[in-house]
Amino acid sequence: MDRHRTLLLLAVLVAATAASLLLGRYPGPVMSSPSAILDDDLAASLVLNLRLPRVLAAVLLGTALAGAGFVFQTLFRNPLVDSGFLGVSQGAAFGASLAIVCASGSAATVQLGAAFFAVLGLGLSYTLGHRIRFGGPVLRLLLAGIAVGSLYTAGTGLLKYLADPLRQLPDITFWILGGLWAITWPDLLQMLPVTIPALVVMAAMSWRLNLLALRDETAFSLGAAPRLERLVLLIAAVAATAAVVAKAGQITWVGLIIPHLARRLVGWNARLALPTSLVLGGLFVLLCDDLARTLRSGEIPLGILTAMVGSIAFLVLLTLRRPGIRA
Amino acid sequence: MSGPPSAVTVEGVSYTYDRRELPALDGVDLALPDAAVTAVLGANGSGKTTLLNVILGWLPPSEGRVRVHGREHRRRGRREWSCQVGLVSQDDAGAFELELAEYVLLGRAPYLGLLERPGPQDLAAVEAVLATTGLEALRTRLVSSLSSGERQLASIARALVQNPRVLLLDEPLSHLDLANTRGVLGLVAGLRRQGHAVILTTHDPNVAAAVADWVVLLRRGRLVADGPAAEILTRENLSSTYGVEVEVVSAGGRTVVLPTLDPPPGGSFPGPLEQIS
Repeated sequence: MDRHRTLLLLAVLVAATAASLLLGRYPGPVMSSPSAILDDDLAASLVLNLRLPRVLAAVLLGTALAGAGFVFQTLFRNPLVDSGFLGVSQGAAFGASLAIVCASGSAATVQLGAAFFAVLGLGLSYTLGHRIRFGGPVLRLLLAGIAVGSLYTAGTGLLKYLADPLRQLPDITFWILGGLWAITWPDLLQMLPVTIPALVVMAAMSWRLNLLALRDETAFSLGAAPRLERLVLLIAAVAATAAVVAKAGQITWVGLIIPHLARRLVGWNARLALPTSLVLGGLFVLLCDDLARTLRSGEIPLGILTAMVGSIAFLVLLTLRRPGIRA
Repeated sequence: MSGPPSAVTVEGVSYTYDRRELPALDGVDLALPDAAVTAVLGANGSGKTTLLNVILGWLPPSEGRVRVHGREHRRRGRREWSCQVGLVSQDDAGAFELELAEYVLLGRAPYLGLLERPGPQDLAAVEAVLATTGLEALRTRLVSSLSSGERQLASIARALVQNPRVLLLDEPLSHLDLANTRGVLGLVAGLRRQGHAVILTTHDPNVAAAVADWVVLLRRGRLVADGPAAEILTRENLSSTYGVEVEVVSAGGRTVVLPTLDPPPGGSFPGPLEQIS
């Protein structure tokens, strides 16, 4: 039964992906028929070269963020954790801001800076977590992650303060709000080599995640290497996050809300809840991006829409508790 | 040691936690029998859980070595070892909410590769254990919604699916009512009959008196005594282990341990605060 729900969601995602290709302001005002696009060379070129990579990037972005969020929440045994708790999102924002203020601010330097400082965020959190002198390994890592994230946020604030208010500050603000308006085929192809292997690792170890949510010694007694396996999954989750946020900016709430929705639909067994989270994440960001590019003649930053829809959904989810589900 | 062959031998084992000066275990030597129930007794902080974790291989001893059925942990593969030694720690059902059958299925992990998922034979093993433990009716209940006694049975069911030759139970009866205590003790006795070595920790000597064949007494990480339960559960040994005077009486053919309520003549005996000071 639960598996059928996941398959149904997958079918909806495929249909929504196809429909999103027809959605836009050209050649029709909102939705065009396939024949209208095929008959118009300009429309066909637009769909193939701009809309298709953007739609696929939206699905990949949502999949990566939701998968990473699911992994973080399970490994930290805390359903209110996402990549923001390990300094990853804040690291990406700092790296992008640094590139805009101190380097050329080109797309390549911004993406490189975001990816580098996102991964560095995890590295710092992990290293500092080992040096905290109290609490279990999970608590230590979370505390270190929160401190590293705050440090990055302070750094980003300083860079915004120092930035040229007419030239650099709008770029920083727009990057932090997040969006997929600039995605092209090369951008999408650059995301794939990191994101796809990371997603494969997460999906392949989905049943194993149940083991890693147990106490360390219990997981060990069941044949797991809890610290090593957690590290592998953490690296996969952070790599996937860094690869997509480097291109798309900060897209919040996906990693937090989607795993909750997935568990609502199919239960807490990660074997099914993780794949459901991946599909649901792709669908959520795809639909938000469809709104971002069609609600107004100009672009609405995607991060605003995901935060708006995500926070409302989160509140609804918290107030409509189902017996046995703890949020 | 006379009698049945040893399932676990502990040779001169010491263990000191990071940033602690005093060892949690200090030069402990043991030979624990196979196909028997061993109770590790001691006050809070005496090193009982540390001893289980050292036997499990989770905590590598600072000194000495541990063998399970003649072989050391480091000489076996991780999965092979976890088919030999299983652990049920205190309230280890996890923070996330699995259904009971899904939770019990985790016990099959040692038989699966890193990326392998449970198959029909694993599900059949779960069904068999749910039937023998009487948990069938709860199979779709979330573990978090079970009573503490049912959760303890669920954890033991998970260990039964794992089917290790040596099963370590950390305080399996704490916070259980009489009915659940009876249920857990029944499972422990069943495991002994099937030839498993069960090593359980408890701070209650009456649990040891009720179920154990062999008793280990620990005080501040050091071995006070170990041997057959009838020989070890004496007034002198227990008073020395707990730091309080106790009485050991026989009631209906069973040994019962009670704390002495009046101070001994001529002075007071040391209390719990003195034990941990």
